[in-house]
Amino acid sequence: MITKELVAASTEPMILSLLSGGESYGYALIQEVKRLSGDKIEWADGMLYPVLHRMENEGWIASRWGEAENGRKRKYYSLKKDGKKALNDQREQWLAVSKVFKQLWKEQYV
Amino acid sequence: MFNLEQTIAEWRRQMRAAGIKTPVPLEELEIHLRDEIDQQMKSGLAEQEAFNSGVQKMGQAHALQNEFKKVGETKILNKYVMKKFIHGIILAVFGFGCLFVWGILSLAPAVRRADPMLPAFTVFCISLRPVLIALPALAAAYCVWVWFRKADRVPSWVGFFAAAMGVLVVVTLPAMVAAYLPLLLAVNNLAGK
Repeated sequence: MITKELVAASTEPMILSLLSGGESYGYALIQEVKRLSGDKIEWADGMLYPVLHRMENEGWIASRWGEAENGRKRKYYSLKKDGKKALNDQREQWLAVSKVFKQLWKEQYV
Repeated sequence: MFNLEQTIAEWRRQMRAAGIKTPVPLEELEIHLRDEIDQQMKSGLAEQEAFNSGVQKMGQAHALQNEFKKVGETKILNKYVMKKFIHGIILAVFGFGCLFVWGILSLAPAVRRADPMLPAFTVFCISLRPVLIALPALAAAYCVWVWFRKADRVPSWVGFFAAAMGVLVVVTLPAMVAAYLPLLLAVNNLAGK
């Protein structure tokens, strides 16, 4: 399992990345991250919502109430212009970190 | 006999008791819980087990409330409120600037005592003084519009700052010339006498 600190640090860029593919809702975001990480990243379900609300306050994402196929109310989130900028910034940072690790471990293990 | 609706109602009461009082987060959390229960039941769990598992995954009510509280605190100081305040500060500076220009233009008639003939340009500028009331009024109307906009639709203050300062320069320069001309004439007349 990935540590709590790393999960917390990666939550915002992951949400931004997931929403860059189109609008979604909390439960689907959690399931998608779980699937993509092969169950290694598991967000505490309730903790996702304060993060989503904070990102909405930041102006990165927008929300709207809609209706699910089962007739249940659902709050959908979508990426805004500022969110795209934030995603680009964060992607650059994560890629820089990833590049360093790739080079370090390539040198050590190859 | 387990009753899902009653148990969810009880869970809502616990969440409210922990401090999650605003309807939006609580409603959103409940919808999430119901989605999770549906999913667990599809995987073969009984209703009660699915509920217990969903509640456990949701997390402790107090921990959740602490996180939502942080969002509330940052909301107060978020950049949108700051933008609105900056608009207000720019409006105040612009208003005082216009008042200053009005003051400059009021100096010119005072010089009239020395020489009743004011230059045509000065007379023209004095006749335009109501513009110095209209401009801040227009800026104030814009700020009121900004203040009542939805948080995420507040425009940047940079454009307002540039426009306000540009207008201030445009009205200050002719006003200074308009005040300077009669002073110059008065000094020349005194020298001539």
